[in-house]
Amino acid sequence: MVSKVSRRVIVLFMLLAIVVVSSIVISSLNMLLIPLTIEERVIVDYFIKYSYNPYNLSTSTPAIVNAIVWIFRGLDTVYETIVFYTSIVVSLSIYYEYLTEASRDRHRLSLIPRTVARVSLVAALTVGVILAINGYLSPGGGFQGGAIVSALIFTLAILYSTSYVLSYKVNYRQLIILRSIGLLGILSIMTYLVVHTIIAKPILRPSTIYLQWLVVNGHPIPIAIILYNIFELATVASGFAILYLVIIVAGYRVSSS
Amino acid sequence: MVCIVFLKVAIALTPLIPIVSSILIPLLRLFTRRKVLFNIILLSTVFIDTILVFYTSYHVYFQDSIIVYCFSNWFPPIGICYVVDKLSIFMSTILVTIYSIVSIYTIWYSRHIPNYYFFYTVLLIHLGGILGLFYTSDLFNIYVMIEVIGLSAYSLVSFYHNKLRSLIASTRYALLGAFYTTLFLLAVMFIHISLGTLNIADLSIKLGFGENYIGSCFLENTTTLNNGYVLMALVLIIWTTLFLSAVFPNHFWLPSAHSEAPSPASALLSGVTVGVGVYVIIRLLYLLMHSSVLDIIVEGLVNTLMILSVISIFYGALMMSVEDDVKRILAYSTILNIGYVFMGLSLGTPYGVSASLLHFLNHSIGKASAFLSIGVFIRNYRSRNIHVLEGVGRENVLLTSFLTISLLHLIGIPPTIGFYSKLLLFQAFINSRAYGLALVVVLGTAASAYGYVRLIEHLWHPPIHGVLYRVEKIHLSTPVLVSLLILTTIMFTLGLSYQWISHYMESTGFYATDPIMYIDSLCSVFRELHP
Amino acid sequence: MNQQVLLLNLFLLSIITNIIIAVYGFIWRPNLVKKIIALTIINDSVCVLLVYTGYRTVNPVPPVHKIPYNISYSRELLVRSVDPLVQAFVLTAIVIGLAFTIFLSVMALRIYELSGTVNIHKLLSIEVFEREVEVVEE
Repeated sequence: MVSKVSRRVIVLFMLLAIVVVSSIVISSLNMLLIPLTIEERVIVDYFIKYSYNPYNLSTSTPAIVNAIVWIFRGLDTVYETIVFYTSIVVSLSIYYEYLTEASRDRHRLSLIPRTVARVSLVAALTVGVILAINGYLSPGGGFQGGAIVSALIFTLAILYSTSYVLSYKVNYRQLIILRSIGLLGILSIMTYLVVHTIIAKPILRPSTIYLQWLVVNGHPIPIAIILYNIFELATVASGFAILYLVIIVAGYRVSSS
Repeated sequence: MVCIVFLKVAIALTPLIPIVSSILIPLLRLFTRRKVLFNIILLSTVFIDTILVFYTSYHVYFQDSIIVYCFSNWFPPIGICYVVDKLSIFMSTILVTIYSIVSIYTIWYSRHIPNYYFFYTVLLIHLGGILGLFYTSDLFNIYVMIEVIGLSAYSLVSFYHNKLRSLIASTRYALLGAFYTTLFLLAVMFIHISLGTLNIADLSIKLGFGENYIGSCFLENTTTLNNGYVLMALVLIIWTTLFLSAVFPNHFWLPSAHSEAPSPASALLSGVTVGVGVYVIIRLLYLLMHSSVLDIIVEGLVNTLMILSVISIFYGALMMSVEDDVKRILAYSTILNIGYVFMGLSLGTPYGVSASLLHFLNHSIGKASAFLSIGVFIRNYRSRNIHVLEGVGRENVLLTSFLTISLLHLIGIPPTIGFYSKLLLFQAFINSRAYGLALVVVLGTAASAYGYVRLIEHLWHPPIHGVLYRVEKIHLSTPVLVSLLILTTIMFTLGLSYQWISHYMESTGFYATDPIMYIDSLCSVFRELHP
Repeated sequence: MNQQVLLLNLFLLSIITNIIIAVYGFIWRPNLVKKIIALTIINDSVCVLLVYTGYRTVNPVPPVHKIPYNISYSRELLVRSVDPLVQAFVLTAIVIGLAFTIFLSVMALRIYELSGTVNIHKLLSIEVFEREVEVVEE
């Protein structure tokens, strides 16, 4: 009579034994299981070279990962944002009519968290926006900043109750308009770059948008990646905010039915 | 000169235009509720894309050129390039034709859906995703596009979110899809650590395709090739492709998913989304097949494809004959026809590829027409069961004749072009001395014919044991008539003019199997852009 | 050197164990929410594996230039920096995985609301039962 519990214990024991044995085997090896071949990847050298140098071919972004994500392989990121947008649209389409039932949730927390939130949420907002705008100088960028900003609205909904937030602070219409502005902004920058590259001369140089008159430390400010990051902040923050509000209300309704 | 500039703008913006429209639709929904506006946005976007794709295909076919555009002019392994050759533009032409016809039908169908604007949004994202996949030449971009296509397909399947069955079908599809695309990401990792590059043409050169290119084209790695990683990557990519196209062991999601989707979405999913896997396999297999390094491995994979596709054909034909749900019959026939396409691909000769591509074209047209006409029946009589729909065909002769013509086209009866694709497949197998596969073509046609004819027979004959209550005749509205008429006309026109289009099919087949011009055009662009 | 190789190997082994356990959980557990969690673990473990393959064993440095342009540091980056391309892949892959998790969670919530269960065995039997009912509305 082998019950289910003892079968699980046997499987777990076997797994532990396999892990211990393979650890002992591996510790006696002197080579890496998957060899790290980064010295042989020439493409990485090109990314490092062309991202920040004072000579003629450069993107003026010191953060190389963000340069790859937005400038060298910008098309991937545009479509990844579209995937995120699709998931938000799907979740909203299923639970849209529940937003009108938000007036049921009126539970708000006491005075102490609300007062502390007045300071901490402002600080979090600042950190999020700065993280997004400085995406070209240090690791960060639009998505990370947007996730932080959207957590603010979630915290507001917990502190002040969802019905208060939806009726006074933040409107569903405003969030949709903000999200559309963000997405259309990203697509319009991409379209401008496409058209500018093909039509304007010189044709063979990579094109990105600069403000030639705004020069800091000898480098023109790369306005394309800053605008990309700001629009991505708008898209992600409003998308997550819509999602949080919808899920709170939907979960409330599902658990009470 | 102006033509080249306009062509480059056209291919760069073609996938982005439907996405812009799909963002505008929810935004405009906040301000207005007039249905006419959304219909105009959907139709105009799809027609603009159709015009752009047809213009590009005219240039690619009649002036024999390959159009290359590298985004922001960053040279190929660093940046992403769109490369449009005959194979890409052939699949894109099929895609936009089916999409425009189904959009016309959707205008009628969306009368009965309360949140139709969401349907339009997801349709447009799906269109942008597939177009982007057909144009790109970068492996990680293919991964992102597969995700876009997948997520919009899952949303289309689960559109009726008050029915438990569509939610379950969509969840099953989504769980499997997410798992397989993670495997694709692993494949990208293996290729990156062993070859260091992600451009398809660059991969082909590094795997030994063109020995006279090494050193003069693309960046050079200092490593020696590690066969194990490349083999793993290839196996994972082909496994994901088999899932996307629903070949035998990975097909279990397809019957539920394609039958629970709304009818225009079923037409699109069965018609063009299963072609994504076909396209990825033709590109990767034929770019890597000529490499001397991977010969034995590729041969083993191709043999596996052959066996799996034969099993697919007979499994699809068998299940088609026993199902009771009308849309599931058509979904199993999709598995059957994709089995034919993969059987032709596994030959490895240009004749096999051109026969498979023609069969894919026929399947798209016929399956779209079948799903659209069945959709009218289901919408009006509110049932999908074949026994409940017995005898309704007699009252609606025009609609049943559209359905019958499309099913005869799928079986392969002469003046429609469905006959020619089976003939080409048969000839390709005889030419390569694969007599067993030629026999499979004939037997598969016979087996599937029973399934198709059973559908028509149940619709046409009144029930034997029961009373035929009086059904009311369906009034066919204009969008439905127009869409079904266009599809039927295409079937007959292409069939009657076959000797003119066979030349284009053959040249597409030769182009697909001999990728030297693809690599050449990318190399020349690389030399122009590299400082 | 030996100690570093050992640590890297152990790290790799732990990631692979993670993936194997998550695949086991994805296949064997009938609860939909557990499948979604297992899928998230698989996706994130593959992303960590990707970042791991970009590591440099000798004096690694993050791929960020210094702000007033420093030519010696830029030359040093060519030799010392970690692979930034796999990090770009991981950024995209994480967002895509997140989008899938959102979609699947909303589906699971809706399935629970309509049927009261998240167990796939019970759900499939409901589906088969519904399919045998004669009239099916679209």
